[in-house]
Amino acid sequence: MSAYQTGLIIQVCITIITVVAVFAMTGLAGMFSLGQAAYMAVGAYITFVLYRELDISYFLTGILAILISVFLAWLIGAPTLKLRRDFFALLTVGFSQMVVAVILLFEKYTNGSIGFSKIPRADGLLWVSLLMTALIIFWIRNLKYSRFGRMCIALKNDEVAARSFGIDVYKLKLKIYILASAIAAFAGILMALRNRVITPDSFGWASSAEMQIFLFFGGTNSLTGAILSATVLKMIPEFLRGINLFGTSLQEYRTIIYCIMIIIVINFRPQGILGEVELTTKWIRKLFSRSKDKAVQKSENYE
Amino acid sequence: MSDAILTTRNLSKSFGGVVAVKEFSMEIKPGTIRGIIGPNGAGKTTIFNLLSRIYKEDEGQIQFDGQEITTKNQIEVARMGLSRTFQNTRLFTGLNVLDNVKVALDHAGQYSLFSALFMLPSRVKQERLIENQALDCLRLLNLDQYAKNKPSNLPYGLQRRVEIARALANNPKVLLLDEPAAGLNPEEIFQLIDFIKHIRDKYPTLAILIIEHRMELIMNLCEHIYVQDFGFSIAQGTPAQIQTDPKVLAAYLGEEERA
Repeated sequence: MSAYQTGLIIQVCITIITVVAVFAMTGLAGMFSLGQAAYMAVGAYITFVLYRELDISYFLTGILAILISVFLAWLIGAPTLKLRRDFFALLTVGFSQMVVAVILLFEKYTNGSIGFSKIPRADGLLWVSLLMTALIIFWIRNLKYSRFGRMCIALKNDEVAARSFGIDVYKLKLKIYILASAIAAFAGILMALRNRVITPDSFGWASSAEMQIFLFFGGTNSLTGAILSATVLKMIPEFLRGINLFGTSLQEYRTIIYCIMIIIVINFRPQGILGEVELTTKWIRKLFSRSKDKAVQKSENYE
Repeated sequence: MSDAILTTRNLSKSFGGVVAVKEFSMEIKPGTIRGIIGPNGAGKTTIFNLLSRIYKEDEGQIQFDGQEITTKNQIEVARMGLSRTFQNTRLFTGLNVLDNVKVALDHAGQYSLFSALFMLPSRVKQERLIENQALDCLRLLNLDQYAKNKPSNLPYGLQRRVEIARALANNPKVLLLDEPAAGLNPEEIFQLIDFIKHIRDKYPTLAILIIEHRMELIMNLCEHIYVQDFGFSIAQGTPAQIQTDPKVLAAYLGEEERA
């Protein structure tokens, strides 16, 4: 496999991890955050700045970085998740801008807007990415079909009714927000290892919005949809690389393309491409048995 | 009386200058059905919202299961076993009927987020338990054939019954029904009356408090009725007493004009 292909697969894995985390937060619990890329930045910068400064293994600093994002998520979530949803969404935008500003402020350690590039080469990153992607998908799938998933969907539908069934809406939201943020921080570390250079503007508001766009495109109620749309939409720009429009590669227009696609989807299929459909083992079995039935029918027709 | 499960004393609540409930006192014993009636805007739903702690009262006391609950919040009271339905059904549209019932049991679920994520044996075992409990509840109320349906695909009368089933899932001590017959046709109302009688038989210690407009439902089910008008209690008694009470007739039909 060429380095380009490996890089692309890891890139897609990272996107899937982030979108799946956003699925848990927005799709299940109805918290609309536009600041998840900030947790990626926290994960990436803290891991590798500390690795450089303290000269210890980046496994250790990575764990520390995830713990710090957990703490930050608690700090942001604890006061705002008591408020109405729109205030929470606004505050997450502010938070993501704040993180970028802090990175620029600590130029001495982070190298500011030029980008931090003292990131070691990691061997076997492809396998780690694939394994962790599978694990995180497994987690969030389990979450959806557990009591926590049900309670999340309930509180997304109707908070007052959820409370009247003894569901502690605030605590549950906080838990899921912290979980999603920790996963985002981990994705940030992977991204740093893949790119070997991190710049503050790659963790800005736009990349948080991209995660939401991917989620809404696939369908906020479908984990399968989130994974599929993350894969497909992340790959599309790669195929557009070769095509030129007005003298620039079509890849440069990807934000415009995403926007047009999301407008079309929201207009004509507001529940997203997959709606509430999930790919389950039962579904696959049914698909196979149906094609078998058809084969049987066909052979019967021949007779 | 000491054996009442739920009592209120002089409960009052006003919104701005509007008195919604004024010095409302009532009590209900386990295994009985009582009703609150009154014209629109009489403050009936406000009473329910005070009981289930969605609103905080201005004055008065509420005793539930031997405890003062005016200091508690909505979640704590729900966990103590005070269950309710809403005026316009508030089923969770993202979940199917079975999951709607399961959600009522979920706050007390016996496994952590960690074991949920990793699909540990404790999660599998507990999920099976919850599933059986929810199915039992649906079976008891003859709703199990709708378990896999989305609530929005069911007729309104059935949605109502599913909502009541959900409220019963965690074996509450008191069930508050907020206008269960609203929006139902006469046929469906008779089904609902049978349904509530069925519940009374299956849950012998459950106290049911009903708010309703529809007299046939109230007069059929309730042993004791409180009548509210513009926030004030104007009468109480058995259905027969209420039907002949001049104050009640005046509130519902208007006063006779004196020449």
